[in-house]
Amino acid sequence: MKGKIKVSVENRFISFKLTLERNITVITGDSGTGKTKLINMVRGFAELGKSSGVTLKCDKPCVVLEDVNYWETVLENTHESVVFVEESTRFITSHKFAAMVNASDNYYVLITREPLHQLSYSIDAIKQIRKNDKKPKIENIYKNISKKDIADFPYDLVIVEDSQTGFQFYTKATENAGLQCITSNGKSGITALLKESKAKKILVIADAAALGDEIASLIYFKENTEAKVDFFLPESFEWLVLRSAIFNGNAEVQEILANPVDYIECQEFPSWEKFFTAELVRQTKGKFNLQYPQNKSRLPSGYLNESNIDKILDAMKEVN
Amino acid sequence: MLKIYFGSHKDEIYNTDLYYSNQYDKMWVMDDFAKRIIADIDDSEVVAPDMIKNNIFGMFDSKNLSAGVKTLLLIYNNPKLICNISNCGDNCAKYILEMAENRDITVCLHHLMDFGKNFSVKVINDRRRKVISEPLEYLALAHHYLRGNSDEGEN
Repeated sequence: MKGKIKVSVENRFISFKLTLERNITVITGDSGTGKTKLINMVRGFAELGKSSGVTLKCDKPCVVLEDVNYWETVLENTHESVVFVEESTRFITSHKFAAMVNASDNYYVLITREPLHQLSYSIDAIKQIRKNDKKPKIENIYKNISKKDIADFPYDLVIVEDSQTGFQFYTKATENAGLQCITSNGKSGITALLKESKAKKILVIADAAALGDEIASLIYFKENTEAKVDFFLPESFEWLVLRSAIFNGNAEVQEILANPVDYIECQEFPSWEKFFTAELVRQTKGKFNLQYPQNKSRLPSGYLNESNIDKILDAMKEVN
Repeated sequence: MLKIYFGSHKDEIYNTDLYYSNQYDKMWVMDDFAKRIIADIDDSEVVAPDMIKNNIFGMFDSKNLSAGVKTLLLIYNNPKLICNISNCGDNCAKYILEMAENRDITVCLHHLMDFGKNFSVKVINDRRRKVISEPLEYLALAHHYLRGNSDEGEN
């Protein structure tokens, strides 16, 4: 399944509108905002259709995956659907559920406050319901939290979540900035490094596409530390490279970047990071000094010259 | 004192919503504390036992309160229960601390709840007993116990 999926659910009292752009959407936030009501309305319509009194409009079937001991069988037989999972559902944090989500052709709306470490989901897919009388708004929680221009690197410490090509790039990009650039060897190591650090100005660089389970901890740290902490959160390093002026003349890349949701088949690419890596590999195949390795072990030297470093660092400036 | 166990506990009421539906007392909502949290969190007014009024939904019974309010009512009326407070949003945090001011309450927490800048809790995993009042220490313990040995999401 790919593309934007719009879901509209309403009854006599309340209506919800939700646009899904990725395979995983997480709805979290305060109590009393209507999360359970949303699920109950979807459940009512899924079981009884219009006779439930609920009106549900969506191009795909919408179902609620219940916390029953045969949930795996239900999910195995659910395809091309929007699958809702409600709060307090035990299997939501399990390896098995994550494996089935990653292999499936469904979109998922997961209502939970628990960080889902087994799944790779974007900070842009984390939403909350804001009370608004009969028409609550479902909106992104983490808006405008990323810096767009970091070229001058006014920091003492740069923590890069990536340990391979991305880290090689930022190490080179910061080598004359008089700061320390280290890798956290994955997103789960960022918080510990922040806690240990004595630096006063810190920049954290990570892939927004997969940071969903860590972002609450990082924001909490930023709000409770005396250090100045900024985030630079491109979709992924490969996305940043594709967005850079290096690919300005490539119409196909520009078209994909303008509307990635129309190109990313969720069963093949459960995370957008995987898609952009595959795309960068495809677009640079056979190109001298730019051929991007699938295993991301070594960044080609073409990305490490001064001109291309500037182009890549500038690539976030125009992002909305 | 609020005692927090990060992660799953063998005596935990994980699905507090289900437990509430099977164990609630219709008089619970008549208490002043209950009326206060129902007004604040669910924007609703208690009219009579098991009868609550909301400007959008009209009259409804206690089973249709939010999961957060139901969890708070369970703790308030059964302080020995170990409830999963990840069914509560951050707008419930101050009430959880308030309930724990004069009595010991043990809860399970599966996410990083924001208790604000001023709080004192005990994290009791691994038989810890130290009182935590420092947000970054609380964060480090939450991260340690909730992350556990779990794998990274597949990239």
